[in-house]
Amino acid sequence: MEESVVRVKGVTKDRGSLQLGPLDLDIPSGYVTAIVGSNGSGKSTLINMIMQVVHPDGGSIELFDHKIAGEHQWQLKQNIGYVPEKSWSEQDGETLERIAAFTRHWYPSWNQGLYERLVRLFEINPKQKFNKMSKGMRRKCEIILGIAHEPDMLILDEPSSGLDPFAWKMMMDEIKDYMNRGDRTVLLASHIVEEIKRLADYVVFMHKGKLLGMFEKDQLLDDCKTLWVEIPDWGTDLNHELPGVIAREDERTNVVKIVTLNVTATEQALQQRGWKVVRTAMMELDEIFMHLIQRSAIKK
Amino acid sequence: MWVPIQINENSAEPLYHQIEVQLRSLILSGQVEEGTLLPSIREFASDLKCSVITVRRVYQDLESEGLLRTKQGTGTFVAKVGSDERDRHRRDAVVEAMEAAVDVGMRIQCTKEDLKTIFSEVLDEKFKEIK
Repeated sequence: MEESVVRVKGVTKDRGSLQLGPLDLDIPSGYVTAIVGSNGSGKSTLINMIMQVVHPDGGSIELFDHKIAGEHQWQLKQNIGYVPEKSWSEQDGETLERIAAFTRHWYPSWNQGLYERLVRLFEINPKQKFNKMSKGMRRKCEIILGIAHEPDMLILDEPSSGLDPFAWKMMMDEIKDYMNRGDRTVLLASHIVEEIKRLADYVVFMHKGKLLGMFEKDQLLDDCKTLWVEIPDWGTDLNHELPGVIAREDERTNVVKIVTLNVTATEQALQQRGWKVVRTAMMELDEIFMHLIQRSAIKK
Repeated sequence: MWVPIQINENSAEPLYHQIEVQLRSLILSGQVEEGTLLPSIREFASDLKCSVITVRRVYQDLESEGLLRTKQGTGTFVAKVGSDERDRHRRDAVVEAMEAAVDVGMRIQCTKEDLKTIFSEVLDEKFKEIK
């Protein structure tokens, strides 16, 4: 695999109702990695630990090859643009203009031209107080502040929450532009399937504090399919016989709908038995996620 | 440059393979001309809703076949395609379409003779249209 910008090793955290970890995860440099998880899966806690807002109970996290918690911490964070899940309430009375002036002072890589272009694009009044703005408007400000210092890595925690479809489209274009140079990294926590499908190169699934695996997105979508199979002799129990198959449903008397996580192996086995696939359909990432959750529950 | 590639999501054929076959065909048929600058990997990936890993793989495969070349810092271009290669590709495309037609015939139990008759009927019909 490629070089990693974030290395999470054996990280654990007790959040009372949720036991996180142990988590092991490498975020590859130059790619968009999406963390997909249900509510309360612990993805924001993981991101907060990477940003060192929350400290892990065990394990270690490295950023750009440095252990965090150390004197480099501030320098390391200068290379990151961070859009947190929830707005900081301490900034309620601030304006974009004031926060931008402050950020410009601390981040030498601040790009004033980019900042001004984004303010115009998102139609922001930089003198308006954050707590007088709509949720979406405030979200746009946070995205601008994440991007304008041209960081090496962007960490976006549910960035599109509150955005209308037009603003969402603009945000997607900006993330694409940001990545166009080829050497930057995005870590995105999201549950919007369309967003992940369009942006992500790698997908990490997270459920109840555990990671269910990291996948190359296209490979995963290529491997996971729904097949409708014509089976002449009725009553054969498929579940134990076909590799890759994790679910089946009877459609009509001679057609069975099966879900496979390894379409190549399944099709080979079907062919050997002389059973014909009459229809193939792709699976959406959320369907795959649900099946992975079910599978992990069965394994236990 | 916008490249007309159509992905069939409900096919068992892997994504990179679909893109590669279509892009190769666009180049060999001359629909995308020599010297054309292709989209950057990230741009193309987001157009096709696939990952940069897939697009990079396609570009690398076609580059090693001599159909594309990459200039450092500028991008990926369509290379010069020899006329032999172009002719072979034209022939391959027709053979592939005929194989598909024969497969359909065999599925509904046509004999070899049936297919020959149908083929010459279709030929006559089509070439009559041209005249």
